[in-house]
Amino acid sequence: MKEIRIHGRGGQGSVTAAELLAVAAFEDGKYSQAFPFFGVERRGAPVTAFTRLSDKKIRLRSQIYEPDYVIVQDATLVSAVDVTAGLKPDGIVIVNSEKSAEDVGLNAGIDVRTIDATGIALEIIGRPIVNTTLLGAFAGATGEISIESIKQSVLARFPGKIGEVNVQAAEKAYQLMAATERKPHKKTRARKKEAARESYEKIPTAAIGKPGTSEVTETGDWRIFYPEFDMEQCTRCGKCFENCPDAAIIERTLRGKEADEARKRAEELEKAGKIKKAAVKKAHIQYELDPTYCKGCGICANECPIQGIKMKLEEK
Amino acid sequence: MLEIMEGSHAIALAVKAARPNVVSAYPITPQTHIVEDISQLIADGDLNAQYVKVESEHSAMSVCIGASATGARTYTATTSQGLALMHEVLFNAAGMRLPIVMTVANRALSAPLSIWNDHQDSISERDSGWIQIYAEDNTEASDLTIQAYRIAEDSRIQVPVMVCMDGYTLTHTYEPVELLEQDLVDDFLPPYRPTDFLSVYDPKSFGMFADPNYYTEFRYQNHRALEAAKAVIPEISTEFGEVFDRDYGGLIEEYRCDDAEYVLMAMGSVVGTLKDTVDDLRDDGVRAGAIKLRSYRPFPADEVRSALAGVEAVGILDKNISLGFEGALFTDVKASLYHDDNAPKAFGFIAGLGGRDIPKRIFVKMFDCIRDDKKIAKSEFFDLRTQILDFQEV
Repeated sequence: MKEIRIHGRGGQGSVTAAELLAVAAFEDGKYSQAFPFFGVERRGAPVTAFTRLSDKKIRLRSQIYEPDYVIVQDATLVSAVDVTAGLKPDGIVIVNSEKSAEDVGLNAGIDVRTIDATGIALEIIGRPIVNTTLLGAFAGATGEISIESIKQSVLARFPGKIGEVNVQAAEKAYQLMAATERKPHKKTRARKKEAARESYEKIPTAAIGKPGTSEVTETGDWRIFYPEFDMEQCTRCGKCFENCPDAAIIERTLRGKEADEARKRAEELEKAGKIKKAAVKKAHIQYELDPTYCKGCGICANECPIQGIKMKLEEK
Repeated sequence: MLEIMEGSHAIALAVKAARPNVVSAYPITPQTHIVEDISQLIADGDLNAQYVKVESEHSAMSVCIGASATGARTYTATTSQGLALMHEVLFNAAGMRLPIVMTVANRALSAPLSIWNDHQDSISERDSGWIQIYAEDNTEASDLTIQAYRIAEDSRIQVPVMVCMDGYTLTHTYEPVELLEQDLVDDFLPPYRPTDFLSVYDPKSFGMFADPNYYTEFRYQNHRALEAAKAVIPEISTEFGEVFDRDYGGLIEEYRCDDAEYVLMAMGSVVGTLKDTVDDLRDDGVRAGAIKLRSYRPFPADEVRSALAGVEAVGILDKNISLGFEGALFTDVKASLYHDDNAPKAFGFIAGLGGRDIPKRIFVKMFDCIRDDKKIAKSEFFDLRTQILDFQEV
């Protein structure tokens, strides 16, 4: 039996990836099992999904603690989650990253393969949905599942054009990965168990929580895109500020010299016919991003009545 | 024929094969995919049934009761808080002897809020008069859905049936499932033809008043029906096996129990992990065995007693607890063994509450515990994280 653990963030299709792997393995004539572990069901929050492959019927129902393979859909998870926990000595870790295997921050003794799945997905699919690309990479790196079956399972789930571009992305990743070589497993002393991240804080008698947990959870880690504000065009309607689900847009009132400068600049723009008069009056109001909490959901860009907010891919 | 799909989808297809006339349900995690898929089948014209949208589970069950009383085959599904909200009307469904079939996607109860799996929801409806059968995998859950209608509609029974399957662990798991061929299902499960049903041409009253001269006798009849189900469930399972070539063996399933010295008992999907553990221990020379309890109500006391004959010690896993006493299965197993002079030592284990995973090593630890004859007077919380407790012993 082979066991695969997929780490991703809510909305990245980790659960779908686990399911498609199971379907592809079944197409290959194997028994398979795929299941999720949901934490909080929110876009961007860390998610784990599991797939088992076997020649025999699978009865085991527990989660996977000693995976043969790990797929990491988002390189930022490497610092947030112990993605290699329990990895078998000759296991392979596939990480979505434009960096080299040595630079993603995992132990040198582990066979790590990186692939710029986000780049491939953006180029071919046009969206940063990387799960199908990584499935191609998995087939190429491990040979556990045929790329034909991966393609079939993708097309069955996503018929038509969307399926076809996903298949192309998977194929490209497959070719890139098939060219990589098995890195001989190096025994390192450093693979000792990481200190448990579990919190031993005592719990109260009843399930009564403390306030302010949204301050503790730094949802900025979840971001793939970030909003860029066009403050020259901005009418200061405040819709972005009102609609931000994480209060990650800061409304700042400029004072003194700063305010004067902003007004002067706005007046010039108005004279040139570039902005409306209403914007000049509120030129002293500025909207800024709070990168600690902005999870890149894009609601602000969607709500902006003048399309003055553009979502830009963040360099990671 | 095997096909790979999500457990919830397998249930939707099984419901479709059973040809219900009325489906009424309220969506709740982790049951949602089942009723979404069924409403899609109905909307696409693949299932000719009426889907009644309601504002709560209490109403969903009430719709099923009304529809079933007119002679319609009815289906609903729920879990956790939804099942708890149905509590009042569950007794009506059973007391009116209506053969409703319901999937319970087992989940913990609040508070604290948990969307994850344990058996507290259905165990807490123990005395509602419903039959409760627990599935180990998605093929069994799908097959049970068909068998449940045969059991519920059997003229010797006429009691509603809950098919219990673990939330997430089964409902959200993709795995190969044996498909139910429609022509075979049609032969196995003929249309529902009750002798009593609501009709304007032959008026009757369902669920009427019973004064103290009668109430006991109606409860007795309901009880007798569940007792009778002890024979009917295996009978229908055998018949299902003849038609579909898959026989689950009735009220309990014994796994490598023939010469077993040490046996663990459990319900639901965790039995798969338990069977793998038993194989490992057998490889190490331990005479281990497992009992899967399929039917919780009626409780198969005789079958449990005979399966445990000659066994040194038995451990009972409860994914529930009757607070202030012990796990529900543990109580029932001990009661079943009470008059048996050669009864094995019995140990109770509470584990796997609110979605806490039960890996093989936990079962190994349980076997170690019963083999060492560790003294446990009451059910023991087996996977407790004592580090986070700040507890004052009274």
